[in-house]
Amino acid sequence: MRMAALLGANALMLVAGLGMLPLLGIARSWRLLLFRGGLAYLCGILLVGIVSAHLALVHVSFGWIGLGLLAALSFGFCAWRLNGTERPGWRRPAWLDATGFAALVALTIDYGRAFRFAPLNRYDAWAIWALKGHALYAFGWADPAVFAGASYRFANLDYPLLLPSLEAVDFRALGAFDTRLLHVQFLLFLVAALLALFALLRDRVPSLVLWLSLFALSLAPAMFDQLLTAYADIPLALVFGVGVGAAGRWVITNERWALALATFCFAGALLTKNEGSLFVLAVFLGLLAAARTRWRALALAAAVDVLLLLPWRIYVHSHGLRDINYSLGDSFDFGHVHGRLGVGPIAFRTLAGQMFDPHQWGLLMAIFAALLIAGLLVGLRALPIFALVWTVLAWVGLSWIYVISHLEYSSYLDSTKDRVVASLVVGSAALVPLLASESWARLSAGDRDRARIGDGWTP
Amino acid sequence: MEGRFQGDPRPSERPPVRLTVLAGAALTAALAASVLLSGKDVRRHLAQSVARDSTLTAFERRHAAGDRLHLDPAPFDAFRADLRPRELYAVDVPPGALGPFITRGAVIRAYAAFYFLPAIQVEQADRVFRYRFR
Repeated sequence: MRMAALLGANALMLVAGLGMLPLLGIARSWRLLLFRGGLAYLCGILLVGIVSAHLALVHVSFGWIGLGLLAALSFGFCAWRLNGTERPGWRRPAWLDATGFAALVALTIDYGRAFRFAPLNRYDAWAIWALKGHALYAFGWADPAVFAGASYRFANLDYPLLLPSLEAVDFRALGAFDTRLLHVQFLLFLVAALLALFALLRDRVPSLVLWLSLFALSLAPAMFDQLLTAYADIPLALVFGVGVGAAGRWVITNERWALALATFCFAGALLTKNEGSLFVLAVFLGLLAAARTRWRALALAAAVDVLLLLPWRIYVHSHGLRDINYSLGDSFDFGHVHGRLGVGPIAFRTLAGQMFDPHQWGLLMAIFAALLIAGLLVGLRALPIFALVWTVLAWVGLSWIYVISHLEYSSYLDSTKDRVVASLVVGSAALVPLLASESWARLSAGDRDRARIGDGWTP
Repeated sequence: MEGRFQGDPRPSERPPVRLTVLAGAALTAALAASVLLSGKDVRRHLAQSVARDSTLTAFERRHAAGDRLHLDPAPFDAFRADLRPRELYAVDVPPGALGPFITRGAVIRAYAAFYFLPAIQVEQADRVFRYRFR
């Protein structure tokens, strides 16, 4: 019964997400809504997460009624906006896509065997995320008695509330603080992100490459293991990864909807975890490097993201909350930084080891690196530059956190190294199909040129 | 000649081994290898998780976090039994040994904060949860 309630709540999130597709310009007709419908679920999860997180700051609880209203409003908007537009015609699905979807369903069911029984026993999962989700569920809002309470400082009170809010929505749907089914929502996050990546890239990338990339990501041991911990790192990575994929598409095509989707996903990343700020900043700098002439669109996107983060930052500021692990201001404490500069290269190498470890992420990062180099060699510029700039900045930025932190670095690095790289790996993995297809297209053009010359054509 | 320049689809007499074919094959092989390598590992992790977790009782599940910290569940259950939502309580626990980041006592406070919700932990209150290390 509780499982049905959880799935029902997620179905409403999916419906709520449908309205986001015309709103973001992703679907301008019923035909496109069907074609890109895979994006609706993740957009719905993010919409519910963002709305409920903001409402939690102003003493408004979000449960079945909120979900129902949001879904009805969103679907109504969708129907109104697409009224009279081109309708989808019946087409037999390609066998590769049908096989891919069947395999995805099988994988979800198989993973579900573990997720529906997992205990909530990992420190950050109960001490930070589930504690806040439970408090939001029990009190109906971000009551400062807990969310700014001196006794709760250990719970990283300055971390934003998207994930706990989503957990609280689930608990209200379930009618209980259920530490078991909570894990199923994390599995559904993965499903939503895979569907989103498929819908985002299906018309730019050969099906075989796309499906293999999606399964390389979803089968990565680190993806399974970390998702099962109910930490926020993988949800952050998945949301951010879809944003990176959309941003990569925008770099190539300059489609406005791709940037709108990226902006929405980056807002979700910013509201999931503080590290999201580092990753999103790195991506915007990467976009600026790759598409400097489109800076106005980028400035607008960045402004929207800042605006969506603003209510939470006001709450943090008004309650005097601060990060208990590190402070970026310590970057300017030269005495402290000087004494720990040696930590930087160690962290940099250690994080690289994590990202390239085949028993954690398969060959994803090796493939990404090879495609990045191949892309540059065949003459691609914008996409590889974007990929290179944001990954290097994020990697350096993560390493810098270990330098400026006051925690003993080896323990800090050891206890976090495997999960902090998740966003870097998933973001890179989201670019693998795009880098492959763009390099392929460039190579094909080269092949055609060579064939012409080989056939005896001279200018 | 002119036909070729304008896009004649006929194949040339000796088609070269196209770079695209080689690159495509290499990429597909690398992605497939990643899927197979990861799939093998993840099957093992999945089987271990199911075997370990599917037999947990409700009691074990409720105390899973405390078990991982090797905490005695009895004092926590006894104190929680008559706590009301939003009731204020304090925690009296010695600092204990220092772990990688925080003391053992701080871990107890954190676990109490989680386990006793929706009661609210404060620094001083009439109701006090006392915990002593064995």
